[in-house]
Amino acid sequence: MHIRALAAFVPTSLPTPRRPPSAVLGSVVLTLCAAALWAVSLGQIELGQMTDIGLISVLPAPFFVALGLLTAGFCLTLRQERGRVPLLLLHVGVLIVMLYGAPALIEEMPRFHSVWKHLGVVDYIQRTGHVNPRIDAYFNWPGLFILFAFVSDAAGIQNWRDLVAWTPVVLNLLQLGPLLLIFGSATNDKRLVWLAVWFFYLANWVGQDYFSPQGFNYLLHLTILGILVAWFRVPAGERHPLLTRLGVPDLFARLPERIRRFAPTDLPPPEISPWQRRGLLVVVLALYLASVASHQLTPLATLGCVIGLVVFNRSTARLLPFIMAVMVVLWIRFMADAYMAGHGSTLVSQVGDLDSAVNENATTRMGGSQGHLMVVYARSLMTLGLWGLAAFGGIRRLRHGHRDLTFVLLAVAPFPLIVLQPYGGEMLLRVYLFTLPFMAFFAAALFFPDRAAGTSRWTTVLVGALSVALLGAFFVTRYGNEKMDYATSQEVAAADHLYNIAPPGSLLIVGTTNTPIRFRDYEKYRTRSLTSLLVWVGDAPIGVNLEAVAEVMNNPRVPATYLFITRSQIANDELFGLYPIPLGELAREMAASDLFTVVYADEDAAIYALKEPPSEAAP
Amino acid sequence: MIRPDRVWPVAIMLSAAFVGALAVGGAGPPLRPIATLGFLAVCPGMAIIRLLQLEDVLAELTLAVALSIALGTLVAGTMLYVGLWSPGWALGILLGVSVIGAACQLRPARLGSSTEAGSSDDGRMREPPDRPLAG
Repeated sequence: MHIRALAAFVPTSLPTPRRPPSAVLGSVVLTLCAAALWAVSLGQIELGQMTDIGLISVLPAPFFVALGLLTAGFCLTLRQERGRVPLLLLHVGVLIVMLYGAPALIEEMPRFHSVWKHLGVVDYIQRTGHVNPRIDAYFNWPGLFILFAFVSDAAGIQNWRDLVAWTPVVLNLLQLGPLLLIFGSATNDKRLVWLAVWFFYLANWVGQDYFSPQGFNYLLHLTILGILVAWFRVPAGERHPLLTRLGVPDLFARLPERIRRFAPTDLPPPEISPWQRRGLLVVVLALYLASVASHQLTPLATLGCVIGLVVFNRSTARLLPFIMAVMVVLWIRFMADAYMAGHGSTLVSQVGDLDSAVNENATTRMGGSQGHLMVVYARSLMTLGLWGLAAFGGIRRLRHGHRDLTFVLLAVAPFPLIVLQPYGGEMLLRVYLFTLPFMAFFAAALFFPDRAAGTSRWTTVLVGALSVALLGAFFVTRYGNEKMDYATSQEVAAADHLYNIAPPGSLLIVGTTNTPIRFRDYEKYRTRSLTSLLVWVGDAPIGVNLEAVAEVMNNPRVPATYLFITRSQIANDELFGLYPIPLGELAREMAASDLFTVVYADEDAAIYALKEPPSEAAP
Repeated sequence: MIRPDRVWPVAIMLSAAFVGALAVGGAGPPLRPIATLGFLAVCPGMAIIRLLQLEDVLAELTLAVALSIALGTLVAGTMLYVGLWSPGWALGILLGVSVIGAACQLRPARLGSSTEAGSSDDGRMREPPDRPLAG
């Protein structure tokens, strides 16, 4: 038995004009020129000059010229008939490096504060050889951290700091395989497949591809969906067995042929042997088990998609949702019980709470500086814009006789997650991420709804124009918070110094949690943000002033208390307006005050302690 | 000259031997991290996926990488939860899985091989048309 799940990528004749080999050469030259120009332009970037709209404010013109050249090369390659796939692969590979690799090359340290916490969890498992579910949620879904603790020791890797900065590039490259598998299950028009891939990468602004459980779980999620849509599609005309069993008449078959023609089935499935079917199902279950052990949210999104496929008769793996649901329930009941004991009632109370969902996902995000607000609006616009394009693309594809019900289901299946949990105000972002492949597919279908359509030069021009618009928006939406997301070597050096001097059990107070911290001795220190402590002192909110800060730090129950303020925290405050007075100004006042002593200071960070020791003896 | 269908199993076995030797010999960076990461990212999954005879390198690679990540997570996670945390032994298990899977591929009659319906005369699956189908 031979399967060609990705047979869509075997060159076939298309009604596009035959082009000479010089066009291939031209595409290669354009790509190489773009890559070279991009690499040179990186040297002109001054991170310190960044404004509140993020990375785009410091990107030089040649950077965008390089992306324009790459886009032109891609659009021209889409029109070529021969040798197209290797060239498209080259373009997409270069695009991924350009879009997702730039921070790794221009920033000194891995970006995004959560990465540092995740390194701390890996470090904990390496040191202790076990997980303590009572520490926090990470230890209740520790699969990825266990994997990296194992790999660290097995491969003799001492320090992940230099490597994790490249995680977005690696994960996006790895996602290309599942994406091709998914898109290839719906069409064998290579233009549509590769344009959908192109749009996916141009529109993936949510930034969940850093070193995180979500990043790796998204790869597993896409692969599971890829397997199901590629090999487990329901044959044309096969009714849902439940409908047959219940004796429900086949109303669709009774429709006149003229009407039925407008609703054809998706591509027919490949035939697979029982051995292959069982083997692929075991693979799906192995991927899902790893996902269940690694992340709270992704398994639920995967389960929702699989349920949708089975209920609407789009998958022959009809028992799969039940097995998956059992896996999730068993994990939550037995492996994450420590977390659920403390948070279960809160989580349950939030189910179906639309007010909370809307408030946390949308309303609270509409704040901060003017620059940051512009970024928020750009994100909203890009999200709605892509969904709008997808809607029109879906309609256009339907009008050309392609139903794509499977993809429609997968595009809408993640939306119920919004009412399930606010997820710290991030659920809308995650829903966007889970729906992105299918939205990108339908957006691409707007230009190539059918193999016979989209052959004019105008289509190429429109694809290029939309790509340029998405590229411009990408650097605002994805890297709009870069001012606070990047970390400097001085910030990390200061954090290292903090861990060197702070006795175990110390309270480490940070201006905001947006800082490289908790990457060492994860369980030995309590880390709290100043804002949260200020709110709770004396059971009432207290104004932000030096006396209030000193009172928070005057904690006799811990061996020592330090206040750690960094450049990225100050940027966080500038973007979001977290403090009534600017955090930077507070830091300057502290440095000049008699209440505090500056334990350590460098260009981008400072550590403060009280001059006088705590007023009460430790119990 | 190695037969094309034996390239992967031979490569997996050689990689396993090399990575095992680096681990036992206590080799340092950059060779050991690069070789071990590369092995763990592809080989355990590929050793199993190729038994399914998908005959499509891109699909096999896609599934192999994801399955390798899953296997690494499940093996290391199981050892940790049962109190037998040992990265060295976990690596040994994955090396064993890879070698056994590759050895199964080298058997003359491969697992699950058949000439069942679905194969066209040239050995490829019938390519589905991208035409609207009624019904």
